[in-house]
Amino acid sequence: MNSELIGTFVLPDEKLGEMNSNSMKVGNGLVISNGSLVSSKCGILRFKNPDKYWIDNNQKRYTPIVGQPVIGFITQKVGTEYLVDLGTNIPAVLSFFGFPGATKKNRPQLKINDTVYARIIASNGTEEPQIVCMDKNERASGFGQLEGGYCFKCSLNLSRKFLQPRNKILSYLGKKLKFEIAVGVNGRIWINSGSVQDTILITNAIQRTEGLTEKPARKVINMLFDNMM
Amino acid sequence: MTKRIDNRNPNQMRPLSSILGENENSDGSVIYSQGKTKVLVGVHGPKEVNTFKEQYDKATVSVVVKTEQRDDLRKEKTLEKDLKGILEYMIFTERSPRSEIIITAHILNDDGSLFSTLVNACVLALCDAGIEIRSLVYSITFLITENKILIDPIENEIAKISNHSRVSLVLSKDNEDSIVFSKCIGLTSLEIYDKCLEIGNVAKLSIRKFMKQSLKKNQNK
Repeated sequence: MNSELIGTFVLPDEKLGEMNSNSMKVGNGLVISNGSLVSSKCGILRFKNPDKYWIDNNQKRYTPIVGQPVIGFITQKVGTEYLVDLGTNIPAVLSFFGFPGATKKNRPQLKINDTVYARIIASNGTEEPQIVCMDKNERASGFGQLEGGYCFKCSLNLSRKFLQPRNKILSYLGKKLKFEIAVGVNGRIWINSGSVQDTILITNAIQRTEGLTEKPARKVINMLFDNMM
Repeated sequence: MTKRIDNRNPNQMRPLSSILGENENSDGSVIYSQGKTKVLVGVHGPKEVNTFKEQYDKATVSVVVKTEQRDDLRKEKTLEKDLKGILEYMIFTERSPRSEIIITAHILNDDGSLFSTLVNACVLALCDAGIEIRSLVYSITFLITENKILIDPIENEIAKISNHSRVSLVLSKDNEDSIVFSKCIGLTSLEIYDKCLEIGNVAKLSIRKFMKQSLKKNQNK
């Protein structure tokens, strides 16, 4: 029933099997309808032991999930909160108290159009998602304002690949160039390096090696380097 | 069986082709054609919506249709209204409340069966965008003359026959109660309409097969 379809490509609105809440956790692209598991997106059905099911697809639009790191642009200041654009359907809310060491007298100095790296702490689909610029222990750990640099959009799968530890493309680029990078799961990547040339090189390297394995990716990056020098 | 103007059988559809994901600005897009009738559909969403259009429990669906010449605005508005109803059935709007899904369709060439081409293209574009879908639909147009039913007519066929009527059906994957939307231009008897439904229920399987193939190939890109 379920097991034959795992690893195969399914279209939306395909009945995948009976739903058993004890042994199944339902993820991206799956819905429960009349007691059975039905797909709502097209993609490959995946299963991870012991109980996680989801549809593996690639898209550009992000739906907020608690705990994930995102890059946002500040659009408004309302009372003691910032409204931040994450590329989702409802803009997120970043309270003035969402920074390490924030008090009523110690306020953050962010302005409209600033870029921030934050973490989602609350999201339920109908209300504004809430984000903070600190980790679970209320320390900065890289969250906060991203000054300077260049931010570009990419697909969600690409940003997730770059969040994995020991990403091969980043380590290969890091041997040759010096740069800072921040990756948000909402499909945004921020790069800061010493020169404009380097930033363009890294942006191209990231965008053009999407979906490639290690060897072809290195070829593309080497070709970009040769064209630059 | 007598062959048609372009050498097809009465029950034979034109060749289908699609290019997915070419438009980088949109979340999902397709350039889809049935024979020479070609449309470009782009999908944006779910995204922020104005307060006057906002629905607290569902996504709002907006459709924009643009013809080549922009000379018949009434035709554009009719297509927009028809497509909106079909898309509201197809998209799982309850999964993204307080948001808007905008579908933009540009008609690149109209060589008959425009309505069906638009519906099928919208399905492919929505799948490409990763928007949650409640139920897939497939659309077929029929040309009815005297006693013959011709599937997927082209402009030449429609122009050469004076006394004809057309039926456009949008079908879901169920076999009973499969009609989601139906549009008739001209008079048709109930018998012939039922026959169209029968042929449509068989033809939709080949449209589904084509869609699955295109989306699967695009997945590996």
